[in-house]
Formats: sequence, C-alpha cells, structure tokens
Amino acid sequence: MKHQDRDQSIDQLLRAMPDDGRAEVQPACLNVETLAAWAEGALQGGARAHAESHAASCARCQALLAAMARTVDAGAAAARPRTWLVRAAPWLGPIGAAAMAAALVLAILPRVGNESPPVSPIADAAVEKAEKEVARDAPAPAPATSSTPRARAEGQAALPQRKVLDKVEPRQQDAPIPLLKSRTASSTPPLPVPELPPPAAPRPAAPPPAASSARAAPPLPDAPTELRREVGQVAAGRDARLKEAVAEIAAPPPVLISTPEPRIRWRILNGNVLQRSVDSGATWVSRTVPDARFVAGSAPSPDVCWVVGQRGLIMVTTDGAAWLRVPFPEAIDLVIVAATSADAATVTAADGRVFSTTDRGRTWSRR
Amino acid sequence: MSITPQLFRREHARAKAARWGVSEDRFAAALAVSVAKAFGDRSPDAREIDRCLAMLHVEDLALACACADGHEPAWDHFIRTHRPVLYRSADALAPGGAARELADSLYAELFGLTERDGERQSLFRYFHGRSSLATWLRAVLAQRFVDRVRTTRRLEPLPEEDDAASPGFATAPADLDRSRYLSVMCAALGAALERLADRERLRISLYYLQQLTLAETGRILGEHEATVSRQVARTRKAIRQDVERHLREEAGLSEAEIGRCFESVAADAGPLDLARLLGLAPGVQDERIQSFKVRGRAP
Repeated sequence: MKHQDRDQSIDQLLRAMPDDGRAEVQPACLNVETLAAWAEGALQGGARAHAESHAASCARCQALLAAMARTVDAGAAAARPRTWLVRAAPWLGPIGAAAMAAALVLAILPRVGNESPPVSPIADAAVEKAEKEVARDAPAPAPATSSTPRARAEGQAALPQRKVLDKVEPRQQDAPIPLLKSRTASSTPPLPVPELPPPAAPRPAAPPPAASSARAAPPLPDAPTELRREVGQVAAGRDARLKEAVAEIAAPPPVLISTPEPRIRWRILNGNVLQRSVDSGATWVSRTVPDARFVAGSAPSPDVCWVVGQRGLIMVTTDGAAWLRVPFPEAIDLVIVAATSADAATVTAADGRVFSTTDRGRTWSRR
Repeated sequence: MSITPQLFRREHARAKAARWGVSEDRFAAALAVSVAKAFGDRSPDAREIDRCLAMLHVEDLALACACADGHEPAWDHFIRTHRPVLYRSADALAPGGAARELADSLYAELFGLTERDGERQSLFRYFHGRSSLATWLRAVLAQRFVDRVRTTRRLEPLPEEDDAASPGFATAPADLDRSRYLSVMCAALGAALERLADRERLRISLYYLQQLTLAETGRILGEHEATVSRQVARTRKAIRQDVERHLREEAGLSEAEIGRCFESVAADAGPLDLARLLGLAPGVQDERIQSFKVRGRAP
C-alpha cells in the first residue's frame, strides 16, 4: 500500500471521528467577548495562544468557533483583506495579454518580409484585444484544482479567486510560454528573434490612405533588419512582463504577521523577503535573506518579530530593523512559531515536535 | 495608572455618545471597565491605555450603554441595525429557522428582565467594545445555539446494549481480524493526535470534526485557505508516519500486518461501532479509543 493510499486511510479515519456533542463547559472555555475578539482578529499574543491552546482540546469551544465561522456576515467577509490570489488577479490580464500578444507577434513574423505590416500597432491592438478577452473570460467556471478531495468537493464557490487563476493558467501553458521561456533563458539577451524568411520581391507601393481614415499608419521601417529589431523589442518587453508575472504566481503566498500595534505589520514574501510596514501596509521596508525559506512568524510586540523556516532557520529582530540568527539544534523544517517576547518562543517542527526557548535560542527544551 | 478625564472626554466625543444621551460619567465608567478587563491585574502605562482605547469599538460601546439604560432611540437604532445581522446568523446556524427563536429570545436578555437590587441586568453589560457589537451578538447567538444543541444531545438516549447483536458485529474470524486492526489503528491515531501541537490539533479538529471548509478554518486561524490545505495535508502525513511507528514499535505489528491495518480502514464498508469492536478485542484496548467511533459509509 502506497504512502498516498495510507494517507487516504488516515483521512477516512479522521472523517469518521464523530463529535458526540456532550462536552461540558469548562472554566477555561472561551467567553463571548473572547470569542468575538478572536473572530475579528483582535486577540493578540498570549491571549490568542492561550485561547488556541484551550480550544485545541475543547470540543465545545471548537463548536463555538465553527458556529462563528458559519455566521460570518457576507458584508464583513467582503471587507476582509484581499488575498494573494486576488492581489495576483490584476496581473492576470497582462499575463494573458502578453502571452497572446507575443504569440501573435511571433505568428506574423514569417510574413513580415512579404507584407511588412506596421508591427507596433498590431501588437498593441492584440494586447488590447487580449486584455478584453481575458477580462471577459475571467469569471467563467474552471475545474477545481485543490489538493484535497474535500477542497475539490467544496467547489468553486469557496475559491472564486482560484477560478480566475485556473482559467488563465492553461493559456500560459499553451505554446507561447515555453517558447518565450526558452527565449528568456538565452544568455545573449538583446534581440533573439526567430529566423525570418529571405526578403521577398519589392513590395508594391501602398495605396494612398483613404481620405476618411482617422489615423495614418506609422512609417514603416525601411529594411528587414530594422523590422526585426522592432519586433524583437516588442517581444522582449512582453517577455519581461510575462517572466515577472509567472514568477509572481509561482511564488508562495505572503505570510502576514500582525503585531499588537495595528498599523505595524510584518510579512514574508517569496519565503525569503522580510518586510515591515509602519503605516498599516501602505508602504513596506524589505530585507532579503538569501537562500532562506521562511514559512511562519510571530510578533509579540511592535518591534519584536520571530520568523522560522526550513532547516532549523530561526531569526529574530528586537528593534524592527536588524535581524539576528537564533541558534537551533536540529536542521529540521520549522512550521509554526509562537513568541511571547524577544527571548521566549515556542516553535513547532514539521514532524510535530515542539521546542521552547526562554533565552533566545541559547537553550531549547522539548515540550 | 488611571485614565485621565481628558482621555474620557476625547473618547466620549469619538464615540458620539451624546447622541444617545450617554453622559460622560456613564461612558467613563464603561470605558474604565473595558480597560480593566483588557489588562487584568496589570497596571498599564499611559501609552498602553491609549493604544487599548484606540482599539476599542467605542461607538458600539456607547450604543450598548444607551441600550442597557433603556434609551428608546438607541434601541430603535439597535433593532434596525442589528436585527438583520442576528437573523442572518441564525439562518446560517440552522437554515430551517430553528435558531431564529433563539435570536428573538436574546432581545429580552439584552433589555434585561431580571432585576437585582432594583436594577435591570442587561446582557449588554458584558459588552466591552473589544469587538464590534455585530460580532459580539453573533458570538452570543453562537454560544446559545451550541449550548442548546449540546444539551439536547446529552439528553438523547445512548444506544441500547443489545445492539451488539446487529449485523455489523458478526463474529466471523475475518471480521474479528478487521476489528482488531481497526481498534489498533484507532489507538495509534488517538496517540498521534495527542502528540500534535495545539494549533495543528485545532486545525485538524475544525476541518474534520467540525467539518468547516478550508476557507472557514483559515478564517479562524488567520491563515489563507491554501495554507490550511497545505498544513492539513502535512499534518495528515505526520499522523500517518506516527501511526506507522506506533503500529510497528508499540503494537509490535509486522509490515504486512501494518499494511492490513491500513487496508481495513480503506475497505471499511457498512456500519461499524469501534467502541463495541473494542469489546471484541480486549487485548488491544486503550483508554483513548473510547472516544472514537468509526462509522462506515452506508452500503
């Protein structure tokens, strides 16, 4: 029996666990005020950790949390911060447009020697047309691609943003992207244009523009070389945008870390960029940690933030600016951190083990 | 450190409390309680108090004070603004309308019919502005609803003992083997769940036990649904590895038997009550297993 099949068996067992609904109220159970504060994300630091710790083993409080989740007001849900997928959505128009424009540019290249159409206007028109098409197509349903059967069963209603992504992704996987990727991978970047057919016979003189024509066509390049350069520039510009957009989508979603001070926030971008905002997210100051892969963070105060990641990587800042490496005894992947001060934190490894320190990593104890 | 009168006045103005006829003294008393609740026994400094006040939903607090005092325009405003929220929440909890009755019954408590020392005791006195009034009302309704459901379940009779003779508990050797494997699996699963970190256990419980969607689970934990999906898969894998280790090292099963354990779960068909199965396999009983019941799918 394969590992995946065994995982599936565990999934079945977990689904079969009934909530018998008979748990009693305990003194530590969440009161209404705490429950409401939790629902609004207003529980901070120790209070949040304490509430989570209790709820993890209290069926009644889990039921309360579930009831709260089910009664989220539609208006309140709409006001929630936009997720990374939604933030990525503005990219989707340009991505599809760029891909289609690049494809069109490449498609007309073999013919330019014969017909010599005005290249830039065609490319721009293609962008415009593609943008409109993508905008029109975006809300159309697409097959769910979530990783779990349950997620698939939840369907598209739970993942509206994903639908937009799914709709566009196949386009990126179509011919234009591999072609463009291989081109961008070239070590000699400037103007990698496919082979053009040899110049044909001199083209006939263009007829004079009609008197009613509102826009005169731009002057045509005189030689095929000029034409090739112009086409190459258009394609290269699209390449850069496309490359950025693809990188954006391939990157992991940002990890947001709130602090007790609402206007001060932290986030982890692409796994290795630590960012801090002191103006409620309007502007961010970045610090890149090469080769790092952070997955979680915890900020017990506005200036203190802990982040953890792969291979036992832990870093902390105590002034909001300088980051220090915190020693950790094992090179295991860390997935959760809950910090209570600049010196004390509890980290959870991917294998479920939990470690605590109260002296900023000089000593660790296993819980 | 106490709150200065200037701060009280500033917050009174920010809350527009005067429009509901809430005096500065009345509002100051409510604010003092809110701040005291936020810090407990600790004495906050001026900066902490300022930050705490800035985070309070003072407009809602002023409305709650006015409603608790029986101010009619405040009540009209409250009913007009918040009844739809309550009803929508009630419908989300029980689509058949059963929770609406609970929502309606809240008004009496909010108004405060019980009197102590000649004073009405309004439910609003428990609102301290730490969340919005709408969310607090949802929490009150959720608490009432969950407790009623749980009380009802407690009153439901337990299954009759003679159910053991039902077809699901046939004593054929194959079934006994399967029963044994299932019970060992569940013991291992219970142990693995116990070893999870709080957050992981909460995530798994909300997703599997409470059957929330990924998005709902993420909303509670402050995680994106994609993160929840990844973490659930990761935890499930960790549980599987822990279960395998448990079966190998603690139950002393061979690799072939471990394989059959997993297969017995995968091949589960028909109703199966693990608590009773344990009775058929006393050798592998574990206290933790008592809390698990494995129910198969309908044939």
